[in-house]
Order: sequence, then structure tokens, then C-alpha cells
Amino acid sequence: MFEFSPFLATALIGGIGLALISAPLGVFVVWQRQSYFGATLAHSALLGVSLALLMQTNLSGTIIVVSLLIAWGIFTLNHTQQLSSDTLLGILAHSSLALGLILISLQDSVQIDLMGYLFGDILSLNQNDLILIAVTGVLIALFYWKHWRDMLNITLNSELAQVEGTEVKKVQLQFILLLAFMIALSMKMVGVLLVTSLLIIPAAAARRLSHTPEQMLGWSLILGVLSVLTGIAGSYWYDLPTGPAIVMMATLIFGLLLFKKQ
Amino acid sequence: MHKANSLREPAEPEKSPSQNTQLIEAINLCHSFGDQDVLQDISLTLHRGEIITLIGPNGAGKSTLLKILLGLLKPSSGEVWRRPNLRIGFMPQKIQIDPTLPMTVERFLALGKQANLKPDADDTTISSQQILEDLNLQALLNKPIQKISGGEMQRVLLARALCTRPQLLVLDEPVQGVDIQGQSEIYQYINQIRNEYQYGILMVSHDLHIVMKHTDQVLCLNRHICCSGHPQEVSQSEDFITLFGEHDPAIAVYEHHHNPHVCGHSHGDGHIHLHHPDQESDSK
Repeated sequence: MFEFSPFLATALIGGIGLALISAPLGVFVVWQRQSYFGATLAHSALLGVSLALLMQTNLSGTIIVVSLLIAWGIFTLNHTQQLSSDTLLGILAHSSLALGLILISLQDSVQIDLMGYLFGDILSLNQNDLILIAVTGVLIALFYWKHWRDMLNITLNSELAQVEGTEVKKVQLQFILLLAFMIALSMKMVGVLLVTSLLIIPAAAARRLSHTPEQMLGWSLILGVLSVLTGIAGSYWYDLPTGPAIVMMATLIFGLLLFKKQ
Repeated sequence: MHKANSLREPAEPEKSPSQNTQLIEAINLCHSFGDQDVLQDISLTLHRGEIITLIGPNGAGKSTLLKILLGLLKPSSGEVWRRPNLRIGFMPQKIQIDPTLPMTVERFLALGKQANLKPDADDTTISSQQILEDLNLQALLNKPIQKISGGEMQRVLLARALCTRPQLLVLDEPVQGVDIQGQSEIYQYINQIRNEYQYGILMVSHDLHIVMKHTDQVLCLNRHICCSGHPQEVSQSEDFITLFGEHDPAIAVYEHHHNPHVCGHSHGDGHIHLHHPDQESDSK
């Protein structure tokens, strides 16, 4: 009934690793109400994919660079244009997704699994990805070791944090950089359209169980790993698409926890 | 002798006694957003133990000026001099915390304390325990920060500003959302800690009548400083009257003098504990 192939081993290790790097970023995305910002970066990842194919560059690297450019675009447009950031994010998210789709469709010489990019294909995870996931995990751990308190203060009120001596811009930039890394890597597992759910849903579910920010981080790590493992199992036994199965398991956990009295 | 390590040396190299107590100075600040001038030629100086209140109508540039003084915004032209290693306690105007962040009032206050502070000899400071007692916050410590009332939030924010052991307190609308009795108490408390600890205080308000009593200097801002001086002079100046209208005698300012000998009401939740209520009665 259960055959442990190398593919499955890579998928399981990669999935657990991605859950572990998503949760710590996800709690701050939720606390800072930045889920639409995360979604915009994720949508722009498809533009990164198509540019990588067009220019024959490294896939993850190109996605990270494009995400960072989009993030930079959001910040500058936000300060100079008279648009609400909500509208601005909508424009950037969808125009970059559309541009990505167009650029992909122009490259008819290459066989491209578009569904794989949009909804994920966990079997496309390879050894290289595992190393990148591990490196990102270490970077995130180092970042929080130094800046956990700063991030909490920025979340509470960024002006107050800055007056009190936090280097707000520097810390925020590092956070966005890590977010771009995480999106570029998780895209393979759950796809461009579902990446944000890995950030948001385990963190939202963890809220019901937590009384401190640190407990919420801990629970979102646990619930994220649980969603990935049960999602991969469901996909393995019932032949479901893996990305959507993981998202549905996370949502199921979230739904069950809604019944818990706080 | 301290030397400015960053922005600018004080205007004159010979330090007069007043410059020893000078905390912050703004020199000819101008600021514009795009082609819109928000601030024109603003200069001000704040010393230890001094309260300056900034008043002005909405859109007068009060928040912009505060941001420049706090170093959050670079002025288009002009300079800000800060005393070297100046510690600023800042109370922002409003703070919105998402309900998904599990955080108690106690944790919120603990996050504000700066771990790397060295005690300096010339500072008389107030202990965190004393702050909690004075502002009557002990009962709130275990509450989620999102569940406290507007008035309680103002006291929590003031406590957080005080916990950083400031030399300069910057308060942006400190009594927003506080009932009239609470307002009077907060102002009296601010005056009291100024007297005891010689903090310099800069605050913004749009309600001028109630803040006037303890303020040393009022700056009336409408893009430029249209009048300034002691509250009494300002409220009679022509510019002030054009901007705000005459002081309406119908708006009486209630002042809370808590004297247990005269007044027997309970000193329960929501009150600020003033150290020496008798000192407050000199101003009647």
C-alpha cells in the first residue's frame, strides 16, 4: 500500500521544509494584514517563470529578482501615486500574472506545464530545491533570532518603533527578501495561485490556540507541517492534485479550530 | 561637554546656561509634498522642564512638523539639532493592532523598554513600577491590548513612552478619546512629571482651551507659525482669534482637584494617581 520512492521522500522532506519556512513569515503577514501583498508577490512569480524560460536563466533566482522588483514597485508607487494600496496591489498582481501568461504563450517551441506553475507539482521538487529550502530556513531562523522583537514592534506601530530606535526600513527589506525566497520555492509545491494560503491559513488557525506571539508561531509551524503531511497523504492515496489537497487540509484544520472556544 | 555627533553643532560655540538644557531645536524648517507647501520657515527650541503645545487647525502641518522633529521625515530645507544621545518618548496619535496578534498590555509595555540603556548620573528617572501605579494600569496588564478602551489605550501609550526613560516626551493628541475628567487628569499628570523629572514636553493638540494652563509656550501653526508665546498672549492675539474664533466662555474647563479631605468619591479604576494633589490647587 505504501511504497517509499525517492520521489516521495523528496516530496515529503521538501513539503515539511516549506511548511517550516512559510509559518514564521505567515504570522507576520497575518498580523500586518499583508496577505494581499503576499498574493501579489506570488502572482508576479509567474512573470518570473516566463522570463526565466525566455532568457534561459535560473528559475528560482529569476522569480526572486522579479518579486523584489514588484515589491520595490509597490513601495514607490504607494508613496507617489494617489491610489489606495489595495487597488495598486490588484493592478500589479493581475498585470504581472497576465504578462507572465502572455510571455509563456509566446514561447511555443518549449513544452511548458502551465498547470504545474499555476497549481503546483510537488514531484518537480528536486535535490537542489531541498538545499535552497534548507538555506532559506537557516536565514529565517537567523533573521528572527536578531529581529523578532523588532518585527513585533514594527507590527504594533512602525513610527513608534522607529522613534524607539528600530531600523524599520532595513528590517522590513530583509523580511520582504525572505518572503520572495519563500514564494519562489513554495511555488513548485502549491503553485502561483495557492502560495499565499501556506502563509495565511496555518497562521490563522494557530490564532485560536495561542495567547502569545511565540505560541502562535509554534502552533502555525505544527499546523503547517500537519497540513502538508495530510495533504500529501491524501494526494498519494486518493490521487488528488497535491497543492489543492494541502490547501484543503489546512482549511479543514482552520475550520475545525473555529469550533474551539477561546 | 557634549558635542553634537550628527546633525549640527549648536548655533554658538559658547554655551550659555540655556543651551545646556536645550533638548531640541528646529531651524528654518520648510517642507512640501509635491508642489504643496506644508511648512514654511518653522523655528523652535525646547528646553528641559519646558512644555510646548502645538495647536492649529486640521491640515496645518502639525503631524508633519512632529515627524520631522522625531526624525521620521526629512525636511525639504532647514535643520533639526538634537541634544547628543537624546532619548525621546513618543506617544503616537492612534495605534491599530490587528486582533490576530495575541498580545497583552503587559507584553506591549515590555516590548517598549530599551534593554541597552545605561543609567546616567544626571537623570532622575521614574521606575516602571511607579508608572504603572501612577497611571493605574495594574488591573489592565493581563488584558488583550485590542480589548481596552480608548482612554485606557492613551494611558498605556503614555506609560510606554515613559518607560523608555525619556528626556523629551513627544505626545501627539494625548487625550484623544478620553472623557473630560480623564483629560484633565492626564494633563495634570503630564505637568506633574515635568515638574518632578524635568522632562521636556512637546505636544500636539487641537483642543486649545484645556491644555493652556500648564503650557509654557503655545505655537499656533497654520503652515507657518502664526503666533507664539505664553498661552495668555496667544489667546488674545489677532491671528489666533482669526484662526480659532474668540474663546467661548460657554466652554467651561472642568478641572479635577482630587482632595480626599474635601471630596469623598471613590478613587477607583480609571483614575490617574497624582502624587501631590495639593500642589495642583495653586492654580485656582
